[in-house]
Amino acid sequence: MNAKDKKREKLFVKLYDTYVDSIFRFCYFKTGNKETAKDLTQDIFIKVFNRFVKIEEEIQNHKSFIYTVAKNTIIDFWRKSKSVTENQLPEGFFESIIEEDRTETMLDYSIFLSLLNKLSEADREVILLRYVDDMSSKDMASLLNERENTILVRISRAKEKLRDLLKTTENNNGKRI
Amino acid sequence: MEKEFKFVIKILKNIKLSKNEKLIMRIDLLKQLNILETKQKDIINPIFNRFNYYFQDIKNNYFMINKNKFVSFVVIFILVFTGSTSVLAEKAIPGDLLYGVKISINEKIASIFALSKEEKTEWQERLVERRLKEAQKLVFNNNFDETTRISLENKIKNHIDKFSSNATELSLEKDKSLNSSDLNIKLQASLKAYENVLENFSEDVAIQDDTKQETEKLLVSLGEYKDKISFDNENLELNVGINLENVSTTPVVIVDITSATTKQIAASDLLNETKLLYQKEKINLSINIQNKIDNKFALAEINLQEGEKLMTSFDYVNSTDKFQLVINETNEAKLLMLSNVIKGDIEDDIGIEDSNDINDDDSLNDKEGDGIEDDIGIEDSNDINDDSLNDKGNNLNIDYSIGHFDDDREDN
Repeated sequence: MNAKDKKREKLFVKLYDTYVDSIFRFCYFKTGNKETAKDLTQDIFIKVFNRFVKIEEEIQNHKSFIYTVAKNTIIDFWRKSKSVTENQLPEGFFESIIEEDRTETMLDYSIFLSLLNKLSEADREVILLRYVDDMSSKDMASLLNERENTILVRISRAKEKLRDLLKTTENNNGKRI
Repeated sequence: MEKEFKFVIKILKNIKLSKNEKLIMRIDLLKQLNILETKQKDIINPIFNRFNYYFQDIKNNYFMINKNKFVSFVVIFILVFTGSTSVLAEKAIPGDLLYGVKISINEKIASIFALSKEEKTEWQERLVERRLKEAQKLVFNNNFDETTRISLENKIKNHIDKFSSNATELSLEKDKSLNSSDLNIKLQASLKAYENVLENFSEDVAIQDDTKQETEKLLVSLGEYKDKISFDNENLELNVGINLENVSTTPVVIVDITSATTKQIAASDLLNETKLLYQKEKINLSINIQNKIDNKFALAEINLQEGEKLMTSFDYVNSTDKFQLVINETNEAKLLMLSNVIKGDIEDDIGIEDSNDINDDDSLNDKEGDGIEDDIGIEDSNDINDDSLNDKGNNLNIDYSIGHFDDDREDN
């Protein structure tokens, strides 16, 4: 193994350590299945490494590059998968996240989490990328093939929709969450 | 709204793979990317493979889940094929009419069922325990003479030699290094426990002079066996988490990543499993021993964290050393726990109670010097000090030596 290979391998391990959680989460929110998300995460990093070997110098932004590979891998996955409808998360997916910690306070928040299920896939995607994965609007624009301004508007609208859903839930339940 | 929103984001951010899942995935990735040597595929006849799968399944489910099931099966087997005499012989001790049946029939038959290297090693460990139990019963009955002692010593030595060579071979098998070290710790624990019980017996004024004298001689031998097994474990522990198949063929830097990562997984697994075992056995341990074990776990945790930190800065050599320390410290905790649990079991069996614990103060104090001291500080004149553990962890450059092999392996 020459010095260049060693350097590349170190960088790859570093990228893996930095982004494995975010990429796993990204896949999990897209598929709703932990094992599938794990397999996809592994596939994504294999692809990332293989592309690294070929176009390392051309990659300007590692985070954006890895997310783009992730997005395309997930699109391929849905294309190949015939039994499941694309981007359709299982019913109660977000509420189930909180299931493991069933304290009273946490259960209150499960109502809020369930609202994420009511958002459209596009709105949910921008909320998760921006606030959970801490992605900049610029990187999001690159990933989603849109202009940065458009992304900012989408984030703002998605948040607004979430507020509306929250108000409706408050009115229906007659309590503050 | 903002408060709830932030809280939910925090929950969502917590969705991540576990530490072990990430490590395993990293190894898989590096393997798949041809950075690591790919696993050699088993070229086994598919029919044999299927047969072997079902056989292992039956064996795992019905015989090897725990000792009791295995023993029950062997007893039923013996009952069916050799009659009730053999079953009665199970409780025989040297000098009894049925002792020959126990040794020559029961144990020979039981050894047939120990097929894999792991089971053979475990069986030798149990044979040592059986001989120790016989010695303890004889001493307790005030009936321990020179001939019996020599005979038992020879048997124990024979079993220990076989255990030792089997365990060394086992540690070189893929994914079995942890098991070999675990069996070694169990044997050490049994030896320590029986040594402690016999020592207390020998100090008893009611014991006849002959028995006392022979017990003291046996104790000297047990001390030597214990040292040998403890020395063996230094090598076995070094093999834990190492895939020796890769070492000779993989480039150096890759070996570092592999060895550090696999060592990390092994250390973390061992620590977690031992903690789990500790939770079950805690109730049987004194506060003094609990504190000592807690301190050892704390030290192991610190080294694990330091090792993980070194991994992020690509210092694989030093991180591997840190993970090795975790393995050594965890095994010390396990040895301390098991020896005291076994001692308690022996005392329950014979209906005596001894408040003295089996300690290993020296081994903890000499290592690392990280400053985690035993905050209880109880000095017990009856402490059993394990000098052989003193230098462990700081001496990581021991060669992998394969122990000697006996030509005469009639029952392994």
